[in-house]
Amino acid sequence: MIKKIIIVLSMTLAVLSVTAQDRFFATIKVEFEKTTSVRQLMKELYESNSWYDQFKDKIPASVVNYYEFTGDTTRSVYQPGKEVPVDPRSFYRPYGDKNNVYTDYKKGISISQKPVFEETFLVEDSLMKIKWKITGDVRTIAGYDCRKAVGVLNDSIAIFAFYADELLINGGPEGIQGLPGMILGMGIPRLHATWFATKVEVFDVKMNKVIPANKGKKVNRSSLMSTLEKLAKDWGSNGSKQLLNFVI
Amino acid sequence: MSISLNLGLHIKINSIVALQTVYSYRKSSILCSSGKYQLWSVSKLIFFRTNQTTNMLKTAVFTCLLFFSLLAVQAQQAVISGSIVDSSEKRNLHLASISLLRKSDTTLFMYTRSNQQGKFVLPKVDTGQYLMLVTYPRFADYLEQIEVKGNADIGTINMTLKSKILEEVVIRTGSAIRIKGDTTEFVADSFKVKEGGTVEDLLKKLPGFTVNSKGEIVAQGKRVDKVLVDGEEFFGDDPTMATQNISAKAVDRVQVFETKTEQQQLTGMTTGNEGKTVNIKLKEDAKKGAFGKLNAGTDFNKYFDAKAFYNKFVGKKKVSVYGTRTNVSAGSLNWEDRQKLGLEADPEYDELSGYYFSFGGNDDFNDWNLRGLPDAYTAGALFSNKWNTDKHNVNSSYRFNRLGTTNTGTTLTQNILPTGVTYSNRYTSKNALNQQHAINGKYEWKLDSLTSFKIVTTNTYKKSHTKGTDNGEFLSSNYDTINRSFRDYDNSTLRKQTDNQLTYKQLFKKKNRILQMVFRYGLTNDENSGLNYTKIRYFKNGAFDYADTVDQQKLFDGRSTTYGVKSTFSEPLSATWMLVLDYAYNKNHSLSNRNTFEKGFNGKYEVLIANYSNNFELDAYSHSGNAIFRYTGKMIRMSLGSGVSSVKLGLKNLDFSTHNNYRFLNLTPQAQFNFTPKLQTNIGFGYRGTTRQPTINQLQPIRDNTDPLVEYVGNPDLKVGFNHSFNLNYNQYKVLKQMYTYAYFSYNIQQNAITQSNLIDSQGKRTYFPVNVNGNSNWYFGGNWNKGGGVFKTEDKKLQYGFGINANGGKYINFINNQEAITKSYSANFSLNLGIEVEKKYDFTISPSFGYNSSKSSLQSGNNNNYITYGGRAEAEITLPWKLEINTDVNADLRQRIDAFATNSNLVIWNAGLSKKIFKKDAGKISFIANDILDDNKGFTRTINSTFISDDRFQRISRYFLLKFEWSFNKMPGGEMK
Repeated sequence: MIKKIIIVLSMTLAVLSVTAQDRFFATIKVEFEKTTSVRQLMKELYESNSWYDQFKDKIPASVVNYYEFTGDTTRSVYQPGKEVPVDPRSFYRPYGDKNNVYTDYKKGISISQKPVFEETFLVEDSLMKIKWKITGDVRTIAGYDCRKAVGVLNDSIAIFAFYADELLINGGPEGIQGLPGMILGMGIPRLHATWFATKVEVFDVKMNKVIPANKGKKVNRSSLMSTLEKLAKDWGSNGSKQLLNFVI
Repeated sequence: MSISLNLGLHIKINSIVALQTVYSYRKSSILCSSGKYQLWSVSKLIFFRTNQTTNMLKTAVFTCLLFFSLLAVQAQQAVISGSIVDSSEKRNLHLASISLLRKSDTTLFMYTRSNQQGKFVLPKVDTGQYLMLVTYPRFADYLEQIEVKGNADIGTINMTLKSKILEEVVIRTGSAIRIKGDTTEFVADSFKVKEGGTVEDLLKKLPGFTVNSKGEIVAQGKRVDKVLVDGEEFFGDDPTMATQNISAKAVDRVQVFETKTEQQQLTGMTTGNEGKTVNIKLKEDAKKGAFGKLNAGTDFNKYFDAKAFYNKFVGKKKVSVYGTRTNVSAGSLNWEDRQKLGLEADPEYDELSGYYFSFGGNDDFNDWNLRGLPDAYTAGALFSNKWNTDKHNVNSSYRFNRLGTTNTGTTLTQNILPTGVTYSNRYTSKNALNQQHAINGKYEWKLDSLTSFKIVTTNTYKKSHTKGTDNGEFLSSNYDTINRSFRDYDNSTLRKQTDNQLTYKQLFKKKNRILQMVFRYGLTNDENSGLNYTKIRYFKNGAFDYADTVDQQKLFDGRSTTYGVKSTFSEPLSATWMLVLDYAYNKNHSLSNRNTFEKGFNGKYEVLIANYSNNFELDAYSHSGNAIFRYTGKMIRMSLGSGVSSVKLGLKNLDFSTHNNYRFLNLTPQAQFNFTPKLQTNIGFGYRGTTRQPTINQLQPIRDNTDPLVEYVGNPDLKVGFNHSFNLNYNQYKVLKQMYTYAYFSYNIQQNAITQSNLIDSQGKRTYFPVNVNGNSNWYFGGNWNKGGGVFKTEDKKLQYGFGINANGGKYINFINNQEAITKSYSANFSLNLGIEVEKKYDFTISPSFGYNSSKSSLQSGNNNNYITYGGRAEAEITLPWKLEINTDVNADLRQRIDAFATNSNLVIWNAGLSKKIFKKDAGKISFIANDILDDNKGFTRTINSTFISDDRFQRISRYFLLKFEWSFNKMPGGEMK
């Protein structure tokens, strides 16, 4: 009993000392909630199709998925978190909900496992180059003050990110990174999706499971892109829009 | 080379606004200018700089200048260092974040953290203009403009605690929009906004809202954190898009609500901010416009083909009209046109069965049922509307069809008898005219998200007139004539039919709990009259024996009324199990008067022939119930259950006042199992048992002598049959490989199957009646493998290839002259397909096929009725310059001759066309069409049965040439309707 009290006390003290001083954390575990505005996404993909009109009421307004991000300043892994049952009758299936992204910040590489239809790709490449513009807007996410940054990927895809500089990991959901702090909130309008941290753990984070996935067909980002683009051509006008969901 | 570090003295401030963050500044050090940093103006950041630092940096630069000019460093990349200090406590700040932003576009160039001594080093900085941003928790942001020309030590940067600043100056301005109030919604249309106005202009008009000169909207001092568009926070790739780029006209409603609660529901975001959110709800695309199409073709002699349709939208109101006139087809619109006009059945959704398309009953006015040469008119109109946020939905249509056909045909039949083979041949000539008016309507009313009503009504008025002659002959096995017949007939029928259905659906708070009730009322009214003259000459040993003549009028009057109610209840038992229960009651009352008259002395059809007159009343009642358990797991789905129904038939003969009752108990057990091991792969297995209840016509048929040589007799002793049906299927689609594999197998076996017993007498008259038999079975197999893409290196060239197998077979037992005849048959067809396409250049497809058909009758084991079929299809489409296009296709249907027939029916049909696109956007097209160039098109079907083999030939439109003009227009604001 006394032992317990001591442990509790020492932990409280530890927390207090940290909060009183500089609240910086180098090892974290974050739960992300990804919300996809399915109806908006479908509207964009199929609006010109009379099919959309007939089915729009049956499409869920939004779908939620969870992911877990674990990492320190050297490496991190982003992988599917707790499962949310998908209505088997609903014909919307989430995109990229099984992605597993490993990032090595020291070497500047990422290894991501991306199931795309029947194939699982293992994308090994350097970190995504994102042009970030830093803004003065601040928002509190999961108890952390986060600064807003607007990023542009491949000169075309806008990313809105909120990063906390109290967290020393320069990572974020999926392969999005490159800000002076951890991204706890993110929105990609093109995908009609947002990611927000719902839980941030900074103590007792186990790093032993932060290892890259090893199964899948080895590709790099550009070869995956060209494979998908070929396919997109056969799918017509919204093919490439649809496939974008797999690349990020 | 001189390297200098320019100080950030020209700090430009534009729109001093801070968002939820407190910043400090000292007036004395700031030089304002009119220059604009685009992004900062959007993101509202404040720049500050203290006197102290300026001086320090000045010194630093001076030192640097001296130092570097001495070294004359040539490097293009510099090292920037400095240290971060808490200004009040003079404490070094560890882990402060130092970011270098490019001055030109404020993009992040590099970042680092300060070490334990508060020192930082930014290595390898390209020379140029930068903004340096230093942040530290609970400290105000520090931003400074620097010019990097070489290695430099910026010196000490003093950070100030936010709490300190608060004591001095507090700037707390709101963001772009301020609204005060409870959760409120503003209907956009209620506020007049100038032509071309944006959302901002609209918000200015809302009561209690004011908009300042910077475009910031303020309402009673309460700020709004976020602007959502249709519930999404980020709209488009530009963050200012929401307020400045959306036209006020596109806005349906402006909603204002608490950030914490409802916004979470919409987007699932959690934020620590207190405040309000504005959600701009956009209007559903108000479609306003019209599209239409006009086609006309002729050969300037005999053939013509014309079609026109027009479709107009005004908001959600939609009106379509269409018409066709043709004598080369049945005149019905193709599926694509029907879809465009909204005539195609809407897909229905039912929580129990998922999505399905419900099609109307079979319709005589399509090309599939067409026999002979057509002459068709079609006209129709459709109106649909939705209102009150789509809670009310109405759809009504009218359609008129008129189809005239003329046909001459031949049916050659070989009857297989235990004693040998006989031949019956029939030569027919027929003129028919069918006319139909159909009015359909649907009204749906959703009371709220849980309750809905639907009324569906279909009404038809159909008149048909057929006139024709038949010549028949019946030959013995050594080709001696047994009889010759001639028939001349003239029939008119009129059917009025209405079917009405009311559906009530109730969903509940508990997901997947559903109650649905369907009430049905249907009425069918028939009035037929026919004249029938038949003369049969019988022969004996090849010589004329005697003749028999029938000259009668038949009048028929029928009326059938159906009432029904079905209620279904589904209850989720757990997350994966569900129970579906239903109960239905149906009642049908029908009255049938069929009277046959002969000519009396005055030459009028007045004398009733009782033998061929039937007047009866039929009452049918049925109760049925179903209980089905459904399991829906992640990879496995299954359902298991059974239905049971009790049917009571009461037949009252009005002529003899006799009464017969029949009772049946029917069972329908079923099981379905589906396994999805991977995405896009499915394996399924199913069983279904169905009771086959004899129809009233099989139990007690109406005696009919329309064809005196064929008579149908009932069998009151028929037992209820039972059919077991098994199926197995496999489906796989590999998306990236574009490979599709499909296989399906089914097997049916019947107990007490109802089959035919035929009696053919020496004079060639056939009498048949239904009997029960055991052991009838059949099977079917279909398999397909298809692959596309990824073969050629050039991406424009698309290749598609594959193969398919279709096979079926079975055992069929029936009786001829009281002897059992067992037919065992099977057929298998193998086909290949290959297609190459280069978009806008050419498209070739070729699909050869080969098949084998075998049939063995226990009565005539010697005869060889096995034959092979071969042929296939080839298609080509070539795009030429000057917007010319050639397309051609060949269909070959060739078969081996069989012993039964002297001639063979091989078909090779070759069509071709040349077209040129004209007008803007290729809206028009002129084409020359050659149909059936080889003039070979004939209608042909072959039936092989244990008791007969029959070849049926009929007329079809064969060779013709048309010059065709097509024009379509589209005035849709949202672009093409696809």
